[in-house]
Amino acid sequence: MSTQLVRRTIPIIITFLVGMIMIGQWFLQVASISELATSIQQWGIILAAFSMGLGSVNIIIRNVRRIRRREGTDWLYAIWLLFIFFLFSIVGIGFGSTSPQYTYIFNTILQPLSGTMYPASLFFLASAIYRTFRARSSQAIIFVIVGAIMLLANAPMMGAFIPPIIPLKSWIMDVEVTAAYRAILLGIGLGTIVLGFRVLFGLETAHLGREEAQ
Amino acid sequence: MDEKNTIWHKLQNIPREILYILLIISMIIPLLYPLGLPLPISAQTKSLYDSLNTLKEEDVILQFVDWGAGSISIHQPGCVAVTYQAISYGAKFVYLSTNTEGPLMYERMVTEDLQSIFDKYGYEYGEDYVFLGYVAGAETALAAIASNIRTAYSDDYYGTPIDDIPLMQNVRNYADYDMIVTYTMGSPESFVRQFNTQYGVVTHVHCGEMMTPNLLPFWASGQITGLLNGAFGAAELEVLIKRPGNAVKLTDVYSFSNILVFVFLAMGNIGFILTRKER
Amino acid sequence: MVSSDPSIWIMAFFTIAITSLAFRDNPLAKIAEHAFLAAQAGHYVTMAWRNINKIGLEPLSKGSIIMLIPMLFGVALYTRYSKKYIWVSRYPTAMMVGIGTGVTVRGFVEFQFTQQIIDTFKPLNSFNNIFFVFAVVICLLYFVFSLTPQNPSIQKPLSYISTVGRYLMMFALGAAMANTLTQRVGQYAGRIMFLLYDWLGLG
Repeated sequence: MSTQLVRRTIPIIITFLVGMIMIGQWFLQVASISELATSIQQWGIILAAFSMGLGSVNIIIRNVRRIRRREGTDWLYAIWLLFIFFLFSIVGIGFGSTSPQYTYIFNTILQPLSGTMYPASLFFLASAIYRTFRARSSQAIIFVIVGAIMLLANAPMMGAFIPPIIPLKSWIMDVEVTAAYRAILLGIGLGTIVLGFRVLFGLETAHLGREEAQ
Repeated sequence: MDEKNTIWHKLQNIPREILYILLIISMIIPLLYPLGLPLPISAQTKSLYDSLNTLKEEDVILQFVDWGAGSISIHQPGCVAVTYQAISYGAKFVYLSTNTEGPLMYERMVTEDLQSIFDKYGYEYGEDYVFLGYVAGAETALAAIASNIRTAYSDDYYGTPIDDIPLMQNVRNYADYDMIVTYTMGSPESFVRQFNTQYGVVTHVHCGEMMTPNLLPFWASGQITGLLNGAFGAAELEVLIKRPGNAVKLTDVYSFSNILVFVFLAMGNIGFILTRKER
Repeated sequence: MVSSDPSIWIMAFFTIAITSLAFRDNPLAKIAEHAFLAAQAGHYVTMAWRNINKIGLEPLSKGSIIMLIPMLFGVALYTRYSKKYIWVSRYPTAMMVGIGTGVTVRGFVEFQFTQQIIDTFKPLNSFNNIFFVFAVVICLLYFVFSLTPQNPSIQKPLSYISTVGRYLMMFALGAAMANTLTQRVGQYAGRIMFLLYDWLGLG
């Protein structure tokens, strides 16, 4: 079999067939197609679970390289990283995620880290709002004024001092924001459907990586 | 006098560390000294509350514990409030998760809040509520759960085979779910697509405030029946069910912090406008 | 009273270390960052193993030979680390993309078009409804007419529509900005609650 057939064409056919079975489950309401689609969805769950380990392999490879290079103090952080990674993996797989041991290390290490990492972007966001949101043009003026009104409206205290801000917030969210986002969603929806069908019909193959040199 | 040293220039260049420290202080004060301000109830929260009030005994609610450690303060009160209201009608609960942190979040919620509610109503694990654990695959997993839950789960989170769990005897697919509620910081559109659009299952969403504008069109069209807007929504629901908790405390934090950021935004723009002529 | 539980102190350390990153980079923040990346990757491995074991290995061990297909495909994903056999990973990738795309696209038209368009047809019997329909149409036209027609007699009126559409969307984006900040405040306040109530024993 030619290289092109095995390495690109067959994967494209797999994407098409599997995608069409999923679509068939929705539109055809035939028991055999529905059962086949449900089984394939189960396979998809297993594949998704396998793909979750890909990042871990990357982490191990990169940090072993950092340890080998021994640059400054960088390699010490790499050792610390690998220690924590193997701690979680070994305890999690060995004792199970329901074990008190795993629950302890999750609650003590990952929960506060995960619980702070994303919310801490609050500071960068507040700084950005202060420094960059300036009324430079007529559109920016609208943006800043509405943003300021909504900041006040999201403060329940202001409802006591400026009662009209509550119905104003409701109007902005329920009428204006809903209308604008509906238009945005319709636009995005067009793009998503087109891209989806391009992927299924093999016109978009970015997920398969680069073509081999002929 | 140096032209760049006027008060209007300084207003635009306050060191960020001062803003950060003031932000932290603005959160500490209301948490130590709660204000207890009245909270207006939004139409989105009211529709969730009204929907919960139509529940009947033995109705099955799927609750997706899809929040992570970063939004415990927002989603946990919402899930507790929904459970508290639904349990008064005798509804049954299937908790599950498509977020890797979901299982540990569920266990924390049970320990801190839910166990006392379950004990009060005499709810037994396996009979009246169950936790199935995490399933990988995002929307693919949701499609599987909707068409046949046993393709996504062979047992519950604690290893009991699903067919040995009394509650799950009559819970197989979309036809057996009376309602689904998803609590997520991500995009809940996949839940609406797989449950409501295909099978017409009543779908409620508790999202972060950032996602609310994206979801309002779906609430307006009825595809999402009830929509809780972040901590506001959770606090409003706590007020409606007459059980104020941590979410109501958070709204006091919003009062101080949002006003602080508004003041900084105003200062920066006032300084910008008044120094405009120099540019 | 300040907590004497060592795990609470470790949690407080990590919380403060990550927060310090907002002020400036420092060794404690780096320790916390590296711990976060590692713990999250390790947690993913733990959760993935549960799913592979429960949905794949157990049925396989009980005689369901068909489960060999997704299990082999799953292992094949890791050939992406081999320069010679990287093409093998295209098979499981193609299957995942096909499933995900099919599952998403199949309900999309009804979900994001039909229902949304139906709801836009509101009776024009109140200011809110008239404004709503007007805003949806104008904002949609903003996207469509970014393809500028060549005929000058059409160009100018359309550019006004485009401008109005942009202003309407600035409204929505301003509200989104405020909501984003509000969400982050709520999330971070959860950590402040932990530091005040659980660590320092206040409130």
